[in-house]
Amino acid sequence: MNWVYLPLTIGIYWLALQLHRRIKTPLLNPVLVTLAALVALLLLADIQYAAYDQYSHILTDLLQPAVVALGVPLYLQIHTIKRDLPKILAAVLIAVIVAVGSTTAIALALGASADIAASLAPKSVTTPIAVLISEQIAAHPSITAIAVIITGLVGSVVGIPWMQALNIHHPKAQGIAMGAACHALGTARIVELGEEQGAYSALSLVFSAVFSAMLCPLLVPQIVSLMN
Amino acid sequence: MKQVTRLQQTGQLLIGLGIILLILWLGNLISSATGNYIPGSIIGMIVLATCLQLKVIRLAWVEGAANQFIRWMSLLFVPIGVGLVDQLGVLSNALLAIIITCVFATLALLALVGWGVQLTYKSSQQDRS
Repeated sequence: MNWVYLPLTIGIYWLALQLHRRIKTPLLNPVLVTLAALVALLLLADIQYAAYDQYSHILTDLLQPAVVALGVPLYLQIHTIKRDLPKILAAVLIAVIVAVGSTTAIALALGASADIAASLAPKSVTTPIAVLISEQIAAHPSITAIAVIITGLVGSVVGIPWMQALNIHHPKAQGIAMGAACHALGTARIVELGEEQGAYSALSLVFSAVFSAMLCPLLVPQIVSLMN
Repeated sequence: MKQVTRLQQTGQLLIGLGIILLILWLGNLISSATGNYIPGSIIGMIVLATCLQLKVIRLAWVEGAANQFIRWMSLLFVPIGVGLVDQLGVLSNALLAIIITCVFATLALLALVGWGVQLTYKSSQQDRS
């Protein structure tokens, strides 16, 4: 009966999507709802994660071609935003260094262990890539996944009022900041302010993913050894 | 007529899927040849965008398949997230640190990048006037 875990996962996700469509609140994030339901189910029914993963692992395998597929929006965005490209690249590069550095340092300062801090380092990047980075630097991918969702929720719920309170009104600045800090969840929210914000946020999130994948394996061990 | 177009659509999806898988294979090859620093899928993403830009691959060939992948991307990481059940011990000890870190680092980053970028746009506007 173990094969049922795959259709069960898809079914619960589909229900969560319907729920999200009815009640529009970022707190009912479909992934968060699906995760909560499945974790509760596994704990209550005393199912081993290994048994669940064996039959649902095909979804994880599909993440890799899904990341390749992101090349299409990347191409479409580059096409429209060519002129601002150097500025965006520079801004996102600095953003990634600050994000990875500050996240790892804050976590360690709060007394988190080195592997927890490393798990949080790629938290600003879209989940499939954050999880890949987490595996790359030998952290806990599932904790990374949770950190990515928390980060996305912060951006989605308070990101816009926060930036407005700080007098950040330039549409391109709002977009680049949101894409670099809060990946797809933040992008989905900021696009409601305008297409310009949305396009810059999408581009920023893609570059941020690429830079993070390149820099995390270099930066995270350095920061950990520096703080210890 | 309708059946023909549906057949064409399915064919196009399969072609797109084939191209994406081929590029992924290429990306993984490049990744392992360069010491696995960057995941093969990310190299593949850049290869795909470059091929589209150079018109080696036409947008129509891959657009349908890519859109399906992107549409269902959130679902694909559910099993990884469920892996949390094996980490509950670690998580419950560090949950507060994790939440505080995510909230503070994110708000600081939004402020820094937002201000910084806005400043560069403002100064370049003054240059022009």
